[in-house]
Amino acid sequence: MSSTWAEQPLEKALYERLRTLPGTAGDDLYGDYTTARKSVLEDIVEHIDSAEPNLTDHGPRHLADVMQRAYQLLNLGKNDLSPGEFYILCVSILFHDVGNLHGRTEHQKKIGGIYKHVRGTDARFLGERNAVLAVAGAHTGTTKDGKRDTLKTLDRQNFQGASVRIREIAAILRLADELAEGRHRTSAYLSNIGQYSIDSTIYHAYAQIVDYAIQPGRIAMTFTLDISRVGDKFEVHGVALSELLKLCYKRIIKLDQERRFCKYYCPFLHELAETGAWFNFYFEGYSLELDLHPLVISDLVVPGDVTNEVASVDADYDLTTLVPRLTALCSGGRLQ
Amino acid sequence: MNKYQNPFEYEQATTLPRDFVNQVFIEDHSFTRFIQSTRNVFLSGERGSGKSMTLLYNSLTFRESKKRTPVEDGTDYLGIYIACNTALTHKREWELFEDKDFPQIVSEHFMVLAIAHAIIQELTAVSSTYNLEAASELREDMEYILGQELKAGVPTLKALLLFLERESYRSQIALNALKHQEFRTTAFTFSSLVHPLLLALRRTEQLKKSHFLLLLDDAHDLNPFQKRTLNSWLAYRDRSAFSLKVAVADLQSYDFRTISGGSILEGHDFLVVDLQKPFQSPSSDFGKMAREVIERRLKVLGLNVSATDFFPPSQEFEKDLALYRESAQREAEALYPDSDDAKKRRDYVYKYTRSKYFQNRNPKSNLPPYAGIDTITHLSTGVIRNLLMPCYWMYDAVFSETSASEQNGIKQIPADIQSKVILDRSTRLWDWVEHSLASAIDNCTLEDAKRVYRLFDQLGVLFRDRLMKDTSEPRAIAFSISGWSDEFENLLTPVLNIARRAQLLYLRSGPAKDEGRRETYYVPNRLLWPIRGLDIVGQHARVSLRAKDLWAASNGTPFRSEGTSITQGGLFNE
Repeated sequence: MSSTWAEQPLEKALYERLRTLPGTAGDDLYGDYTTARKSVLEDIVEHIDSAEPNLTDHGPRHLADVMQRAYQLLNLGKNDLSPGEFYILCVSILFHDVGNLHGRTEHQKKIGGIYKHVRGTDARFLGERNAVLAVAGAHTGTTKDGKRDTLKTLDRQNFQGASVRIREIAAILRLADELAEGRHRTSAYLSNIGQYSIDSTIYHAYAQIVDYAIQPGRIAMTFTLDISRVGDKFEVHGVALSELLKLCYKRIIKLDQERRFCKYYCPFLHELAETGAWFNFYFEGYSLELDLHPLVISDLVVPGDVTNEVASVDADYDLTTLVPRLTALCSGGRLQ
Repeated sequence: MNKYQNPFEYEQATTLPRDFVNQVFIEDHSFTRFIQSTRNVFLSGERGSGKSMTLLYNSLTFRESKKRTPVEDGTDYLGIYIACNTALTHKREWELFEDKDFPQIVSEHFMVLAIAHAIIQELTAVSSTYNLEAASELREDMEYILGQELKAGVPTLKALLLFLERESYRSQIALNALKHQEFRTTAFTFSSLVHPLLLALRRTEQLKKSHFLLLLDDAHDLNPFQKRTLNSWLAYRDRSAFSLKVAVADLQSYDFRTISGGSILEGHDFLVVDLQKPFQSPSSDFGKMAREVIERRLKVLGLNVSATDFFPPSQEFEKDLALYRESAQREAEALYPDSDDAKKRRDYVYKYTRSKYFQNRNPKSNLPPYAGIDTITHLSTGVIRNLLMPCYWMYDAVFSETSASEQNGIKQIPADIQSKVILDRSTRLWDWVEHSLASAIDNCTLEDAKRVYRLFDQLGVLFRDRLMKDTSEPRAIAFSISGWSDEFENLLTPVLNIARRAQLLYLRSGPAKDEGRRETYYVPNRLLWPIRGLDIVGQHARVSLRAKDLWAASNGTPFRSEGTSITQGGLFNE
């Protein structure tokens, strides 16, 4: 509920930036922002869970998390977003997932109708609408002609008499959304008692084990896997260990691609030179010794390198050897 | 009179003879494999947990004096022991400057001088082994890098030492004379002194394959700027030339931020090796290590005897315990007769055998006997120095009561002497808490000290009360804290921190009730409990106490048993 919404640092920064506008323009825009926020939180976002119960959390906590991630990304380098650009970023974050109210599939293309419901037909929101639909619509999915590069076709747009960099803003939102996956995006309780469909159990398990850190120079993914034995099988949060690790590897590569993709289009993100990943394995509360080194996928490309698989970055992570090593440790090998 | 040599010496490792450290150090259990790797490592553990000994054992000079095998003594890993509690690293001039960059420059300068000095000193001690003086290119390279000629007519390493000492003197003079600009332009950094020095050493034929292990001891004593500098080095990616092994007493309160405003992350930038072992049962790693520590030290005296034989348990206690085990077994069989309930029966016997012994003792009888290697191991609360201390005084007591002709033949510490020493040490610890805490611990007022005393006094009463009743986990002697609020955090945290600094209280981490989450819990030093008649073996559970009740207890209000609950740990949890 919006009554429990805590103002985010990004919103405070937005307010400060808007106050640099002449006259009452800043206060007016911030009022528009809070009006949209109230409507999105109360009328839309809270109903997504009932429309799509198998989705990981797309509720207010997710919005807050995307805002936190965007704030961290903006703080990486010199943030020279204009007040208008900052405003479009924040409003776009509010609307980026509202399409889920009508189902996950192609949700980024369903934002327009909901935007209209929130803002009505007031002509003064035309500029905002065009910008927000462009930014929020590019945070996932494909372009009209089926291409995955959703940022390439974006261009500057006018908002409040000034030109705003839509592509850069969309890149920030896209990466912030990618990074907003973590324990809060699922309900541990519902997952534990099996109240998610089998298809999405693995994604909820993933959301419980991953943590992201945005730091100068890198994005660091930390995975914490509490392995349990069920019969002769080894599981993490009800998912087979090897299946969950496969998903982790896919997400590492996906995040690295998103990092490279977004920084290509956004100078604020050039600081992010690498994606790091580290796995903490536990069995019955004990840390498992594996002598693994952290994975580092940097921008450095040596001719001949293949980095589209985790095992090609570090052979110790090859699942055909790693999973047997883990299960051997859980079956009585030396524990730390 | 025989020369007195107590094998259980428990002074700081830095004060012990190298040969003794080399003889008694237990390599297998001390994560040497992590130390001798290219990974950055934080060694975490309270005072007395073996941090310094682990680092010293892996240093070049200690390696040299052990005359290890060629495999062990390869030049691949060269350990450089760097104490962070020296005059150079402790210099506090940085506090005097308002210029925001200058304290950083001053702090790093003196720290890198200390590190470079340690590198040269360690290498000097082994220069003949590695024939470093034959490496003429080292002098040439360093003169070129430093832009100064080293003192002629003296060996290269000594010339480098003299240079570093002169720089230390020169920079101090510049600071004293407020010549900040001069200091600023000539100050050293890691990348202008230590790194080029390591690279120059690796260009010599003798050390070309070497990896330098910079072993920083007591890094919690570094100033905030030095910690940030150190963290920035830890974030350095190329670890071919060096890696950092950093010992700190309290990792939870360590500041991981770097100079650039980022922070270093566990796993990504460093590993953590926790030298404090939360589990003290005979089958745990710590239980095995404790036995090895004792036996290795007995071998120093030429005694080839097991720890169990040297510290035998009380026969009377073992006999009584066997009776109560049978009694608990009978009760368990009556309560859980089904064949599928074997685990429940085992758990019941485990939980209640010892508590029955304590509950059924005659109220007028003396305190129970505390003896045996298992008892001593539990008494240590997982800290090696706590393990050695009672052993030291037990050996001392037997030695002083033994005639001179038989002093070399001490084969055993009788159970009654063990018990007497343990009770005496327990009494002394309470006396120290009550009368000396304020003067022994920094920033501890008389009122703080009273609160600490009252808190542990009331904990003793609570644990005793639980032990003597048929509660679900009667032998729990650890606790977790619930109901934290800003108010009680501000009030209680200073009291707990003083208790931790005084090594009366240890922090541990264990699985919480919620799957996958870990929680911090607190284990009072078990040496407190013998004089209170408690069972120091404890059990796999912790009492959940409210922050407000702990605060009230520190002001003398007893705990209410009904205000507590129990967190049941797993098999290996306290």
